[in-house]
Amino acid sequence: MQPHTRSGLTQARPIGDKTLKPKSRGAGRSRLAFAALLAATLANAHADRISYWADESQVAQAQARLGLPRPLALAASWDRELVQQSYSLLGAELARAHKQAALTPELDVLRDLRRGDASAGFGEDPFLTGELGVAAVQGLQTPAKGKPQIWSVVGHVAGPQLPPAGSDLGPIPVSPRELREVFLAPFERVAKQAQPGGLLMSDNEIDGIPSHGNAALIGRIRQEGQFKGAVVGSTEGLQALIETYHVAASPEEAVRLARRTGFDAMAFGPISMLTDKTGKPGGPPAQAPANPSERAAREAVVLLKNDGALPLSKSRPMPVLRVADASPAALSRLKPPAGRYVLVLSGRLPLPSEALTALVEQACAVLAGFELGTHGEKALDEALHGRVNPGGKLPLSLARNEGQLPMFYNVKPSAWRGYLFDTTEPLFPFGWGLSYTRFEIGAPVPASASIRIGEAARVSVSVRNSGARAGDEVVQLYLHHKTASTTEPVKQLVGFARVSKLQPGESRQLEFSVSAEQLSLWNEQMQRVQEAGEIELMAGSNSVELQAVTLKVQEQ
Amino acid sequence: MKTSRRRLLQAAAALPALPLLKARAAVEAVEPTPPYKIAALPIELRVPDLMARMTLDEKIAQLWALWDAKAEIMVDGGMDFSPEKAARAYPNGFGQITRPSDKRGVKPLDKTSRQGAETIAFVNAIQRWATGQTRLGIPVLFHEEALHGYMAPGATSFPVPIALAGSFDTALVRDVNRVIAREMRAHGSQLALSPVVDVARDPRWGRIEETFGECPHVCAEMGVAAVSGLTGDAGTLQPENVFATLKHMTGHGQPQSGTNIGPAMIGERELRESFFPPFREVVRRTKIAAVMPSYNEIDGLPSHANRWLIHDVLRGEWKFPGAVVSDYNAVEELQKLHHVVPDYAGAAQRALHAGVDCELPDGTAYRELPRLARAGLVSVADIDAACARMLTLKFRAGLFENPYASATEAARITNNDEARALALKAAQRSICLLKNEGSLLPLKVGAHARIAVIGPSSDIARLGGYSSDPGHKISLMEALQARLQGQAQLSFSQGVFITQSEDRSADEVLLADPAKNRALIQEAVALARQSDLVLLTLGDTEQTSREGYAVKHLGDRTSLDLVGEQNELFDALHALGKPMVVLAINGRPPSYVNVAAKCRALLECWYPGQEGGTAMVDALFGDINPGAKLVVTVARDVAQVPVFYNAKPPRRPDRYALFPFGFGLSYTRFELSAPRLSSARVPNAKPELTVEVDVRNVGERAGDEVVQLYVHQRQASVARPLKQLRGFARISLAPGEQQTVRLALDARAFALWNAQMQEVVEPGLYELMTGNNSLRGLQTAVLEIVGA
Repeated sequence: MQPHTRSGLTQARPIGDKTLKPKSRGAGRSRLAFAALLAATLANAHADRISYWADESQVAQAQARLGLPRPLALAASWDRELVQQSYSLLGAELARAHKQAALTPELDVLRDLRRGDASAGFGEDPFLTGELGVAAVQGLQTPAKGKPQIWSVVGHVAGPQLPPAGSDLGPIPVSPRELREVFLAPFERVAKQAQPGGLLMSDNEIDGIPSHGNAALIGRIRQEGQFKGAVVGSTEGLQALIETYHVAASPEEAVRLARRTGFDAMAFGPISMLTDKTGKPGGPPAQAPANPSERAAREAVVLLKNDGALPLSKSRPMPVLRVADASPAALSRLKPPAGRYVLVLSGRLPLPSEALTALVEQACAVLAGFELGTHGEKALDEALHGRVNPGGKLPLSLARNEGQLPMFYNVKPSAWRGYLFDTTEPLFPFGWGLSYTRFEIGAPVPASASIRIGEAARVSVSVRNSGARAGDEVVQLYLHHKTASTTEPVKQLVGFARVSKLQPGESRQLEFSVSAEQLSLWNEQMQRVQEAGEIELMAGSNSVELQAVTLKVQEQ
Repeated sequence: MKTSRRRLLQAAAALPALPLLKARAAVEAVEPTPPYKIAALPIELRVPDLMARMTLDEKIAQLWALWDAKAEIMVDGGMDFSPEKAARAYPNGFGQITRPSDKRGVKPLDKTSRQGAETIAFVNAIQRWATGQTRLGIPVLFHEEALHGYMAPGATSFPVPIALAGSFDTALVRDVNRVIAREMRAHGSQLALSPVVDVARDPRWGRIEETFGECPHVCAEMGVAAVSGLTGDAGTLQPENVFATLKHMTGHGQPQSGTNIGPAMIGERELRESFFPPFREVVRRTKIAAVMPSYNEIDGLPSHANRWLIHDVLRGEWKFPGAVVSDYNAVEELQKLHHVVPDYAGAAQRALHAGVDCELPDGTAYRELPRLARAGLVSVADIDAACARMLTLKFRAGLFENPYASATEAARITNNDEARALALKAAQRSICLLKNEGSLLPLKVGAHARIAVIGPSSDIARLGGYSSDPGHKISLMEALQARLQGQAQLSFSQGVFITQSEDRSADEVLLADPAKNRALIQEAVALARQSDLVLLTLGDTEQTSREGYAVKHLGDRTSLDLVGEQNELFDALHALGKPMVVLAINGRPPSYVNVAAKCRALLECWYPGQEGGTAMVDALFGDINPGAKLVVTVARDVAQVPVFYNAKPPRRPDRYALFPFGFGLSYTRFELSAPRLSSARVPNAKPELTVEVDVRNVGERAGDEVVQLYVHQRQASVARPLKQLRGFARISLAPGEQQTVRLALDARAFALWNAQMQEVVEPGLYELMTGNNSLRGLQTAVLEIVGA
């Protein structure tokens, strides 16, 4: 049997200078420095981390210190501006602690809750993840003294990190077109629109090739994503080349592989490896930005279900069941009230389970806010009592049980034929969230009935508050190709806008533009093309209740 | 005259380059019979000769099959063939008949099947018309289902493939398929839609029973054995053989979220390493005639539109010369389901271009081809190539010489004593012992005076989804009565019903009433209390895990534990503390953690075929010693899925599974030596060696052991699986007997697809692990493969 322990590194022999001498065809100084760095990093895998870098846990600690919700909760706000403000504050905080680069945000599209940490990302949708990723990077890299206050290093290319050892989960099963359409899409959007300082490669492997040895993947991001920043590796990723994937026998081999792969820097290595590529960051701003954490918690509360029991009022008392741990083990110890009750879900987003589904189905109203930060309890309370009208939306599909996994909304048409004795419906669909008022969202009205290849599709959508209270609504726009040369998702998010504080009776008109790139697909020859044909644009308040308009796409 | 004709024929055969028209003219000058009708001429000459005489419409008609459309060629209000209607509806003929044994097209709808003699009369009437009354006399090809038995009334029903594969006995699988072929061909059909060589990685998927399990090597070896049994090893099809169809290329066995035909998001390397090998090996080693693409899409491309898959890989890289036949309605589904084309015409264009030669079951989209060809929207060369492949099958099958079947011969050989004996042997060798605490098994006749036989599959012989009614079949209860007559008091109690009906064609599946089941459980407990031994059957029915072929006809599941009140029944009986043996009857292994933990003895019997009852009794009483192994990893919980033994690091899911791949116990004990290599260093240019393992039966009874050889590459240029099965052998040993098993390895055992997607054997160290399951007690020898 193979030893799959971490002990391999301590046994690795020290690397002499000889092995690091550049080949005669003349690798430059930086190459040599890089190789030495990798070797040193590998040999000191467990040594203290170099302080110019903020790793994922330091980022999470800073977020917590500032009272901010976890990224998944921020995503439930569907509010770009809020995300930008939150990350601007975070960046200032980290810069003040002399950090020059932060490993955040995480742009991993999470299609299977069993893989990776859901709370660290922006959910299951490539577009939502990309848009909020752009906002987060722009916030984090808020200019100070004419330069970004800190560099954002976005992760992980490509796909979720591997789960902890001993778990029954593993290499991410991704196919090439799916990789581009789903997993790389947010990175491409962020690279083009926000120019993050770095991209952190993932520790996983795709189809046998570990990302830390995947030169083609890095090349694709540089080319297709027009990425100019630094490609950053991690010690764990290099270790995995040796100890997990067995594609390198020794640190020397791992170094050679990484060199060929095209890394610019190592996370927690000398920061100059990054800043040689990007320039030095500007450092903390003179004045700390305002803290949006209270508003963030409020905006991230999602009303999942309501038969009229909410908001609570003195005239209608109702037992409230607060569940901060919805794991099956915890739920098995829970005794729900016998009669009607309101369920409040908080804490970590749980894995789906029959127990949770039953609890939700028996409840007359469900309010959810997962890891909302310091102001979470208050925000949930305000929503419960109607002091704030909840307007958050789920950034992922919630499955009814583990047997339905993976569960995501933007499936290909041949998915979900059906189960015996069970449904393919989720417990709650992507984009779902109710309000204490009613919104009427009109069918999308196209600027023209047909467009030509290369043009954007423009539609306007009206939203009207037809209820009795002011409230927020997230208007969502989805695209469907009626026919395409390769299979296309049944729907995919291509636009959204959170409309704030819409007063009773008030209407607003929203304009959406779906770019030619968003209308394109990867054809059989793996070329990105826009095809003539018919597309549907669908608007609504979630991914299920939608009104559609059909547009013709004509040859140029 | 005879001499000169033979000389001409020899000349024609010897000069394939000779312009055909000239050859034909030469032959016709002497003999009016056209060359394509001359049996002695090589098929490579007969096909182009015939095609040169065919119109475009006649060629396209060869790509069509008739199923619902059989109505167009049957007498009104009956099920007999009507030559007049056929001539009217199909002036250019048609290529193929879908399932002559069913009554599709009969109005009103009749779900029953034709009896053997009726099928033969139908087939013969069609052939008489096709060969005698159409312009060129081209016979018709008939295809049938034959997954584990010719699927028509009266034919022998064998254990389902997942069970047969567990025998790890390729000779048995070949013999079983010989009988299937013989019975099917005797009824006038030539093309069997079997075997399934999909690597199955999701037990939620209801079709898992149709597969040979999760291991590419087992699927390949069983696929080769099945095709060799069905088709024989000659280039032309012998009268007792049928063509086989490899299904379903590919990715069908890993559908997203476990729902049938779901997308397979699989990278190219994984396709090449885990999903292609069974197809590739069968193409390499057998006379396989047909391949069927899968319903599903792989990374955005439905297989019936996947030219890379069919044209580049199957035909290009593997040099497959045969026909590619569509799965039922899969060409239409390019439009209706996958939406990669706007209409049926587009579907026909796309499928033909990808390399699909004929459309089953009804040729709905391919009926657009005449119009498309005239408009220049499909290539006539593509139509010619497809037609040539379909005609080649007819020539290979000898249909131009004798297309007829004989009812007398069919009756003589179908389900005869020899076939039934083989069905029994197959069931005996497919039963897998999963647990036997305190050696409860085998039972001794006479040791238990009162035996309670309980459970939903005790009094019914379950055959699996792709079955007809074989006429003879024996349940566990019937077999016990036959075996124990007078030697024990046998009583039966239902315990629970799983479903409300046993109608396999029913779309809706209604679980049995829990309240009624609880009353039945009380009855069963009362009976068990009065008994000395409980034999309990648990598992599925053909309704609760099956091919979900439509939204209205579902078969996949989100929960893998026993359905309904079966756990309650088990717990109630277990609480009595009586000796109890559980016999699992199912097409996929349940994740029955509760049962597996508490029961003393557990036999996985699968759907064991028509003689299954007898085989189970033989296993219970030690008349045979179970020797089968699991060909799938059994998940503990659905949350573990996908779970398979040949995962890549750091995954080690099989460690947490309920039962590992390759696992199965025996009533005796075996000792296996460490592996001995014929050579510890081999060159990568020719990495060939033999691995020897000594196996000794150190127990008291005769028994079978399956020696398994796994390979792991210590370091490679790409991430490698933790282990891959590369050889196996099942041997029988008397008590105290020792034998040496020799397993040969060659480049296929070591090759990988490198970063440049080239298939190479890399120098380095390889662990060769041998044992009797995939997880525990493996012994290792290290092989070095050295570079040139």
